[in-house]
Amino acid sequence: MLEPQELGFFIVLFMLLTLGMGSVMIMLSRKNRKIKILSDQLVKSIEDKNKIEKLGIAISSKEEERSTIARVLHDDIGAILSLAQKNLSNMKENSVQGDRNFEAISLSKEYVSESIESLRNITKGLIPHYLLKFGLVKALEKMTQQKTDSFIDSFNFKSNIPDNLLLSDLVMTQYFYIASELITNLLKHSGPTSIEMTLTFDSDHLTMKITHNGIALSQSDFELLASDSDSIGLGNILYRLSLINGEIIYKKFEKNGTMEINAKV
Amino acid sequence: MVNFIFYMTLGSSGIPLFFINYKRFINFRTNRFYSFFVMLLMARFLTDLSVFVLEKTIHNSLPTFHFSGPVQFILILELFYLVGRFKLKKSFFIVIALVFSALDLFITSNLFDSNVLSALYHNLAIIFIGFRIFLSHEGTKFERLILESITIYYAVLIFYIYFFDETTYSKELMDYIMVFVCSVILVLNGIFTYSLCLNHKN
Repeated sequence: MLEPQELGFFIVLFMLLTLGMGSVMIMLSRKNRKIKILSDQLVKSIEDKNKIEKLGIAISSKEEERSTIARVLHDDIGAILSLAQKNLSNMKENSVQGDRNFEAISLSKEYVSESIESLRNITKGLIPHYLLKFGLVKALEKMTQQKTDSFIDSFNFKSNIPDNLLLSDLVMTQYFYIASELITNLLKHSGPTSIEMTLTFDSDHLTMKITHNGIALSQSDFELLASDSDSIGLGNILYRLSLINGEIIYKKFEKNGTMEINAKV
Repeated sequence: MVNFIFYMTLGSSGIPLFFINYKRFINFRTNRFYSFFVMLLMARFLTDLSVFVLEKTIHNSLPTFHFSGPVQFILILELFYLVGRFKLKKSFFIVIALVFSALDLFITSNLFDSNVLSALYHNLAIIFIGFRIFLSHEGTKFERLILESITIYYAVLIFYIYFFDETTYSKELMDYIMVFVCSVILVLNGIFTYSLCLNHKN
């Protein structure tokens, strides 16, 4: 049996030990908290930096595109139209004197036709001309067949879109470019031998489903890639989907994988 | 000398009350943590006041702890649950606390004797919940300062409570330990006052 003073000593000793341990725990937990706050800040700053870099790339590519268009407009159409203008001025001066130069008229016509043709070529490069002219179904079929022709064994395209269905230019363009990006990614990274694309319209919803037998991604894989990677392509897909309030669903099965794009139109 | 320290410690629980921002306290909806903390300070002050009165009148302050113990425990639980997220429900701890209090009042002890069983439960529960808060990263500086102090305080006092009966019935031991316990209480009241000033400044 302990004497009162001994017991008292042990009680106080235990209390002091607890106090010491508690204080150490508080210090460690505060340090840990500081580390967490700092690491969160670091992660955020890296994310911000990545976003800025992506934005920079997007802006510079846009600038590049603009300068290309400006150069083509200046060198091709500008030059031809200047010639046409000069020709027309000469004709005006000659016509005051009573001369009618039919050769000059036909030359001017040629210049204008040429500039129209150049303009067409430029616009073809800017928007999928075929898409606006023949509709989403034909454009998708043509684009995917062109892309997959020499790379895979079989490509199937099915659609139940009624001929009289009018889709807005915005929806058509976004679906077209998303499909183009997905097919490119598939051919680049998944190595499929067979691709099937279906385009269905059901109760105001337009669904495009791509089934393939290559390396497939699950939804979480896609989300991880989209958030982590510096890929402009995946970022563009998400951006285009946001424009049409659409969603993309990736599914991974044992032998194949699917990508489904769905939006209310 | 020990008596002087004891009464001084009792009085020290009134010091934080001078630093309370009563406007914030009344504004319960937007300042829930602050309001519960002030309630706890008030409960502690009333406890110490009644301890003083009972010691002076009937020379036994133990009845106070049968009631103030559960009240303070519930208020501390509220504070913890306002900051952290716990799997166990608050009501689970409260029901057990009430059961232990009833046991101490009617079976294991009586109104005029110590409530060791329920006090031990209060301390253990607060240590358990408090250390979960240590591991988490939740709460502001003010909230964490208060919750960390309370946890350490209850952890330190658990040995005193465990040997409460031995301490109470031996004057020698009581004098020996009381100085240390009073110092811990004084430090806690000091931290509460400091945290109120800190919060007032912010």
